[in-house]
Amino acid sequence: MKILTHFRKIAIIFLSIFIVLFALSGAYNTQNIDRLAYVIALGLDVGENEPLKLSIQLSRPGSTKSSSDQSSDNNIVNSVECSSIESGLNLFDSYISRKINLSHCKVVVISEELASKGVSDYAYTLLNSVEMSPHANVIISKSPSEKFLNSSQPILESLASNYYEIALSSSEYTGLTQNVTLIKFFSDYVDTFRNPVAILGAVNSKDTNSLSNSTTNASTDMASDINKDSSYVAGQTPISSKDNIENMGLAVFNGDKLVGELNGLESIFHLIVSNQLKSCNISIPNPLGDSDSIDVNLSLKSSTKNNVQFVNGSPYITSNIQLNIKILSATEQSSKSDSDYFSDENMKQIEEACNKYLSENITNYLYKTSKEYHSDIDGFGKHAVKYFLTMQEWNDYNWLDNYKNSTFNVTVDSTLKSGYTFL
Amino acid sequence: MNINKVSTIEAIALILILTINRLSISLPQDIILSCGSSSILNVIYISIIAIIFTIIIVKLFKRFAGSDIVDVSSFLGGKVLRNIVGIFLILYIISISSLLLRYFSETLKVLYYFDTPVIYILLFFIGVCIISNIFGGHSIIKTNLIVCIIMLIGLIISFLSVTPNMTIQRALPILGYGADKTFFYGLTNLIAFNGLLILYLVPPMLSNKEDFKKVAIISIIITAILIVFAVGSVLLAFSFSTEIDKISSLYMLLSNNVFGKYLQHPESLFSFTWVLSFMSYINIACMLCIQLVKKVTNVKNGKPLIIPISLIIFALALLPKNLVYAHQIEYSLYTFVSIPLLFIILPAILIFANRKYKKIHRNNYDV
Repeated sequence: MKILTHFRKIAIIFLSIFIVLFALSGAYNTQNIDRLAYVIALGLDVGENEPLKLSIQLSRPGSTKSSSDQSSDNNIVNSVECSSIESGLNLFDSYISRKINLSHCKVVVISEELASKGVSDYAYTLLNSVEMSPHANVIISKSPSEKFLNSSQPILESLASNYYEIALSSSEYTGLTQNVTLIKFFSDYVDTFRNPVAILGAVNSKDTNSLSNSTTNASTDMASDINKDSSYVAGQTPISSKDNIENMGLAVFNGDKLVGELNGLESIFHLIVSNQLKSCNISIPNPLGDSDSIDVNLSLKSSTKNNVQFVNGSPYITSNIQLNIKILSATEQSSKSDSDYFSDENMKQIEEACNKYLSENITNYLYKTSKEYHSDIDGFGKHAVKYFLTMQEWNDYNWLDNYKNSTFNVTVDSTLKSGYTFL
Repeated sequence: MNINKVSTIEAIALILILTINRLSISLPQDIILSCGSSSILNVIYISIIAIIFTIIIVKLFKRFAGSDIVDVSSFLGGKVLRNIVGIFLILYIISISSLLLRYFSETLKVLYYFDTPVIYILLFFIGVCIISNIFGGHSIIKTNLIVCIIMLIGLIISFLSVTPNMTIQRALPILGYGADKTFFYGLTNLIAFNGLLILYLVPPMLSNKEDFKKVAIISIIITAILIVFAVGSVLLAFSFSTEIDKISSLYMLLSNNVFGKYLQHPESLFSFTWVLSFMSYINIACMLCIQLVKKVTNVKNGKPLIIPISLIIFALALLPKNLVYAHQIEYSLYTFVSIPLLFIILPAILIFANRKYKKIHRNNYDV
């Protein structure tokens, strides 16, 4: 009987080991790193003969070359015209004889042309995929997506995937664009409270630079005049470098269709109103007259308080913004103790100038989103929903459609905290 | 293999594991799709009802301390009622657990083992079920306690991790699809408290029979809190929760969140604990069936029953055509069988048994 008990225990142990080995060894599964091709960026564009032109940027296994000259060798971009994302990936599978894997895809680049036609199906398909990371960034490219991927040449990074990951983190301290992930884009698209935005990208070349000079010079807007350096959109920044990708500004969507774009400064306003600004630098008119403008660093003092009321059925939106400012620029006059920026009177004048400048320009920005783009990208809808009892009433009112009838009242209260080393 | 030394905390874990497994798979999504933005209100409402109901059940069991529902049925209607109730409960547990097993295995297949035939994944769970039941009920219950604690910690971390992404206004409009959908049709969401089934079976297993009240109240309150948090986090984190039916709402919730730069796929860690918890669930389902079969058939040694019962669960799990069918059948079973069984038939048996008890002991002063 004892032998039988021992035998049973041994049998159970062997059975357990067998089950674990069988289930976890994966011997039946032939998928491994040698048979996979990892996509680091996915490009979607309108095809000439097919509805979709799919581009993929692949990571070359084991490539960690650091020289920028060699980066183009690592940049493997292929394109195919196809009817859908999945069929395109299938064609790539066949062409490169490896299984395409999207689990390390860092960005989805959609061309402006395709985005204007609507991206709903692509967003649903990508999020339906188990492989696709929902944290991949969504970039709307003003250039064809294939050109965008071909032009991505990391200057300081050896790995293209790392480059994409780091490239967009600058938005945290510049505010000139926003880090928009696929899941955020999709959630905003499905939302009844707000419309989505995406990162605006382009290839910055000499042609686009010269175009920017002509358009910016034509602008008579006070905001873009003082903040000329922040008023570019992607591809227009006059940087003396060879063709490379640039992300600046935001692409505005109404539903799944691209309806407009915001420049860098308007992106900052968007971040302020939607309570997402971490820190940024802008220029404001100098009320003291010792220079045309003062450069200040902005950060939110407390959360922006937005509220929505209904006046005769139309939304009346108030936005109460509280900011901390730090003066970055200095002049000879301001550095002298008898006329510095930090006397009580001068501080008050600078704060008032900042309040006036920001409230006027943020109001203009909000009217632009409302009247021109009909798109509530700041999510004011969530402050309006409290007036409705059921989803039926809310859907019948159709907030996103009524946003164009909104009127705005923006108040800005800034507090001058400090400067840097000159007092 | 008689189980009669279950401590209070082990009994609570037994009840919780049933809810935890359904929370991980489809429960929050089912509730949100049925009620929309009023899901949190609905869950609070059904939680209050479930707690009141549990208090009533505890009172009804007071005269039958140490007896389960099969014993009470035997008292009320003799062998015939005992056998009917026993067989019905066995069929119910087998069918629910096999459907959940299929649904869970299909989910694993979609997420991780897309090239593996589902039969292998099913066999993996069935194999574990057979082995652990051979080791006996006590080891299953003790393991379940550890697994349950791990799962609870995992769930709490999951809920807390999505807090920064939450938009409170997604709980508005407050009445969702309407007052009727929230408070009347929404009553079907009482299936969230399917762990109540254990309450009807656990009394004889308790080491201290007086602890039944404590076990029932504590477990139902923890269940209610878990359901409110699960539904709240899924509803408030993403706008599409009310629109799109997902394969596993908690998995999606975790896969869409990042825990810093170094833990970018927390869902993988969660899935591992989830597999453990599901194994524990199947082990308990098989163990309960064996206990019930023993009661109905007066068999003393339950070990020979382990393999047949496990194979029945395995065979039934193979029946649904695909994941969608498995989920639909499971949902229908919960709605049309679980609710009447747990909230009408079994309480009715208890009420009639209490009346009979009163009749029999009419002349006793202590009644």
